[in-house]
Order: sequence, then C-alpha cells, then structure tokens
Amino acid sequence: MSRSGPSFKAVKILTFVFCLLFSLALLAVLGLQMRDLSGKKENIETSKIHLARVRTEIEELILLKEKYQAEKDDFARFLFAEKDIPTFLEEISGMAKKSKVNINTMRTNNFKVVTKVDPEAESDLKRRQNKNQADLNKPKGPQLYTMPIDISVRGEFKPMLDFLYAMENQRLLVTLTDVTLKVREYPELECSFTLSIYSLRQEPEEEI
Amino acid sequence: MSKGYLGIVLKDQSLSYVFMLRQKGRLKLSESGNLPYPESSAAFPFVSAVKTLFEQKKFDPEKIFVSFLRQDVLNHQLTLPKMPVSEIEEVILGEIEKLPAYSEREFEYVYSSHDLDERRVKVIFSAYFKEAVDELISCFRSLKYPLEAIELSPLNLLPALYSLEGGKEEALVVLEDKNTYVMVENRRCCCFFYATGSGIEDFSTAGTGQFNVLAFSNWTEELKRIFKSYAIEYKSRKMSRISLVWDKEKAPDLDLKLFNELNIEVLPLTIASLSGIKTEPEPEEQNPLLVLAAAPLISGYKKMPADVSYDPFVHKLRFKKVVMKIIAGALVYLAAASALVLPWFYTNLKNMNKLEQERKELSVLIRSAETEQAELKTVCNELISIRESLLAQASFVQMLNRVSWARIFSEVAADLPQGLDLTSFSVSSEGAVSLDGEALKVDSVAALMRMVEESEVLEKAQFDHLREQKQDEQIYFVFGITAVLSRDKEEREAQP
Repeated sequence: MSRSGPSFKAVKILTFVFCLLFSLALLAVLGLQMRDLSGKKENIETSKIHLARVRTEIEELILLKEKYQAEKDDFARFLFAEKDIPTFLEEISGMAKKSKVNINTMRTNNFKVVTKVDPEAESDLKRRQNKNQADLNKPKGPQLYTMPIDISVRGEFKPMLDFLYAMENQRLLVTLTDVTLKVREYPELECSFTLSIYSLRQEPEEEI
Repeated sequence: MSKGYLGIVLKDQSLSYVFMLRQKGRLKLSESGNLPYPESSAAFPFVSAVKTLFEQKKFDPEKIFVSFLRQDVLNHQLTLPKMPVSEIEEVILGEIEKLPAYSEREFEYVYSSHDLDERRVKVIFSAYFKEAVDELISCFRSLKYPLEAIELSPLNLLPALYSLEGGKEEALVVLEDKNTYVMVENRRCCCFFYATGSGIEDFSTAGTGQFNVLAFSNWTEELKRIFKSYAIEYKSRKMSRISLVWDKEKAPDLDLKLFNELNIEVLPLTIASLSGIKTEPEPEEQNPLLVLAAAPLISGYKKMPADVSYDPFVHKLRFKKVVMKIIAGALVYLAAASALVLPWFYTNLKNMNKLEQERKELSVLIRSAETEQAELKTVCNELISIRESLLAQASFVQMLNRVSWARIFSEVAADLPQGLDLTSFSVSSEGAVSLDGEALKVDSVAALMRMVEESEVLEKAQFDHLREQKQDEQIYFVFGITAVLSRDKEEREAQP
C-alpha cells in the first residue's frame, strides 16, 4: 500500500522554486541589461569626449592653416606677380633716365627655383624633415622662384650710386649680385650687375 | 438556501451533519441533524444517505467536509524507537496489514507522530478503505458538490482540541455508539490515544430513558484504568479536565454522571466551546455529537494547523484542482512579476536602442571628423613643409641682399687715398670683393689696404697683385686687392 502521488506540499515547493527561479532569471536578465546599458552609456560618453577632442584639434588645425595661409599671403605681397614684370622693366628704364645713367644692356633670363639655401636654415630644415628627404628635394607646394636680369649701365659715379640706391629700395623683393664697377673714360663708369626679382610659383625649374 | 459550509460525519448506522453560514466573517450554525442510512445491501450505504441528504435539504454549500467515524475505521497508537519517517511508515503499514480486513483490500492511512522522549516516538494512525473513499468522491462528483476534505474521526478532532484553553493535561473522550476513544493532550500534543469496544449503546438508549448503571459503571472503571495507565506511562498527576463528546439525546446528563464517578471536571464539547463562535441554539442546548461533524469544518475555516495531513484521502479529488490553483497562483505571480519588470525591461530596451542609434550617429560623426582631421593634418603638414622651404629660400635671399651697394661704393670712394685710382670694383654673389687700380706711390696702395681693413663693410683685405709699370717715363703701380664683405658687421647693423 503506498501513499498516492506527489503531495500538495511538494507541488507547492516546486511551484515556489519555479517562481523563485523565474524571478531570479528576470532579475539576472534585468541586471545584465542594466550592465549593458551602463556600458553603452560609458562608451557614448567616451565617444563624445573623443569627438570633442577631435573637433578641438580640427579647430586648431584650421587656425594653423589660416595662420600659414596668412603668412604665405603676407610673404607673397613682397614678391612679383607675373603681370608686374613688364611694368617693372619699364620702371628700371625710368629710374635710369631719372638717375641720368644709360642702360647698355638689360637681358632677362627664365625663372628658376631658389634652391641654394642658407646653410643654417638648410641644416635646421633637414633636421626636421630627415624622414622625408625626397619631399625636400621635390617640394609639393609653391616655391620661391627667381628671374635674374643682367643689367649693364653707364654713367658718372654719383648718378650711378643714385641708380643703384633706387634699385635696392624697391617695394618688392629684389637682390643685386655680381656687381662690377669699371672705369671706361673718366668720369664715365660702367656698372654691370644681376638684378634678381622673386615670385611664388608651382612649376619646378632647373636650379640656379 | 444561503451559501455556507457543510460538515458531515459518516457513522455506522447514520450520518450527522451541520450546516454553517458565513456571516460578517463569522460562522453561524444554520442547521444540524442526523440521517439514518436506508436499509440496503450496498457495501457503503452512506453514499445513498449523502444523496438523500442533498435531495432533502437542498444545501448549496461552498465547501463540504466529510469525516468517517465508523467501526471499520482503524485507529491505533504505537510507541516506537526513533527512526526515519520512511521506516515509521513501513511499521504503520505492517501494523495495518496485520488486520485481515485491511490485508486484502486497498486502503489509505494517515498518522501523527510525537517524540515521547529522546529515544521513543508516539505514533497515532488511522486507516480506511480506499474503495469507500473513492465511492464517496464519485458520489460528490456526480452530485457536483465541492468536496473539500475527507477526514477520519476522532483523529481530526486534535486541532480543535488543541484550540481549547484548558489545563495542563486534558482528555478528550469521544463516546460513540459502540466505541469510546480517549485522547490526552499535553502541551498541544496528543500524547495518548486509546480506543475501547464499549459505547453509549451499552448503557443508554435514545428515547427510552433507560440507563444501565452497571454498564455505565463498567465504562467509567475502564476510563479510570485508561487514565491510570496514562498516569503511569507519563508519571503524571491527575487529569485536569475531560472534554466529552456524546449523543446528548441518548444520555442528557452524562457529563454530570461522569463527573460524579471520576471527580474530574467534565466539559461537554460543543461547537461554540470549540471555536468561540456564536451559535444558535445556545451552547448548553447543543448536542456535543455535532462537534464530530463541525470540527473539520471549523478547522478548515479557521485554518488551524493540521496535526495530520489528509492529503492521501483527497489527493485524487483535489490534486488537479490544487495544482490548477497553484499554477494559477504561479501564473498570476509570473504575470505580476513580468508586468512589474517588463515595462522596465522595455524601457531599458528602448533606451538601449536609442543609445545604439546615438552610438552609430556618433561613430559616423567621429569617422567624418577623423577624416577631416587627417585631411587637415596633411594640409597643415604640407603648409609647414612649404613654409619651412620658403623660409629657407627667404633666408638665402636675405643673405644675398645683406649689403647696400650704393653705401659700399660711396664709403670706398669717400676714403680713397690721394694718388690712387680704382679701375675696377667687383663683388661676387658669394661676397668676394676685388679692387683693381693704379697708384703713383706704394704708400697710397698701403693706405688703401689700411682703409679696407678698417672699413665696416669689408674685411680680410689681401694683396692680389702689385706690379710696377712705366708709361711716358712715369713709373706707376698696378695693384689688385681682394677682400670679403663683412657679414657680421652688416648683420649687427641690420639689428635694431
């Protein structure tokens, strides 16, 4: 003779255990969900901070870009534009006439890139760009170009000095090199020099 | 008929019933009575009596509590050494199956066990035929009445007995037609159970008024022996009170007679004294016999802690219902828990989706910003490269442009010594200066050398050549001097 079937107490305990497990499972799912939620929030906060940092860097880079652009523009104001050259050649003739000297010859050459750099500046540049020597030799952006004009003038000493002074004190950047002053028939002198004018250009040219 | 609880006790020859109504949270005795079994050859005549009861009374009870108080119900007590429950049940089964009636038929049993001391356990058990129980369940199923419990008397009186506020040791004497049951309660524990084969029919007959004094005396003597046996077994003092259940109609003043014989307070056990509830008629007019039918009802209504589990009897009847109830309760709980958690879960899910969307948007923004940053960095690096390249070129140009030719020529001309002519003055782009000329005296050339050395714009003066020449009898010197442009001096001048 046996006592029949599972008791009510056993069923109640089983149901209670099931409900308890269900509750624990619910809590566990909820807990995991909360953890995920918290993780996602943290990720988003990190991403926001990263985005803000990147944006700040972008603003700084834009400012830097504008600064460099402005510096380049400032520099370019002291340089010749293509259209300025014929006018400048006319101005030389005018200045010679005004200084009472005669121009013997005036020969213009092609534009050439300025590559013979100052030794101190060159070493500094190399130090900063030693990883990319090729870039140094082949600049990508605009370069400083020079157009040498070989000039020979005749005149007396004082007018010659006035002419040279006028040449040197141009608003735009010019250089006078290879100056030679010779006596022809005293008091007349002959002065030959190379007047170089400068311009910013993109095309690479042969070195001077 | 109002809704209420129906209690039925099935005896050998008749059934007794009480119908109690719920009123304002309390029970009120509505109807009670006795119904003899019809003359029948059926194995279980109480089934037809139950059907007759419902046909006659038209009860519509909420719950029905049925108990068996019959001679064929086995009630017994055992004193066993302490052992596991499974072994106790084995012993009980063995004891039951010793009886020929039970060894041949299926039965259900219930038991109550209490520790007597550290080594012994007192077991009181009751058993009844499964066939009878099943027959009763089938009867109620066919009647479609809600059978709540099937119990065995007088074991089911124990919770009611424990609820009495009695003395230290109290006895419950149930005087049935042909049997007497004695139970002694001590500290809410039935520590003694005894059944005798003499009942009220042995000394009193209902309606006739005959009272057999000798038989009564024998019965009381038997009671005395039982109490003495209890006192010896438990080394106890005198019994403090006896609660008596009997058919008052058969022996109206039995409680007084018993008191006179035993000299122990005898309390007729009525429904009111059991539960403290209001009843009609008044307690002193009630027949204590009704307690047998009412006790399981009151225990169930008041949810008294059960001393004995009657699950085996109603298992078949109630299992599905109880399981359904438990499952329904569990489902309600699960639904409530889910209802509580799911909105939270849903909100979290929504927030997660929102955060995921936000994360994706942020990723796009970050990618775009990083691309822009990389492009700008490239542009800036190019600009830096261009700037440095231009700076180097400008530095070179500045070096070329470091002297004022007008000034050099004017300074040289101003300090030119007497008797000396310069025929040529040239300066290379590297700053190498060459002075050629003619002088009448060497002193003049020497003076020119000194002037060059002292000059602020020239330095490192050296003779290149000096030759004597003659023209028209006039001796003169042709000379050449080399120097370099003074860079430092010029730079110092250039600085403010």
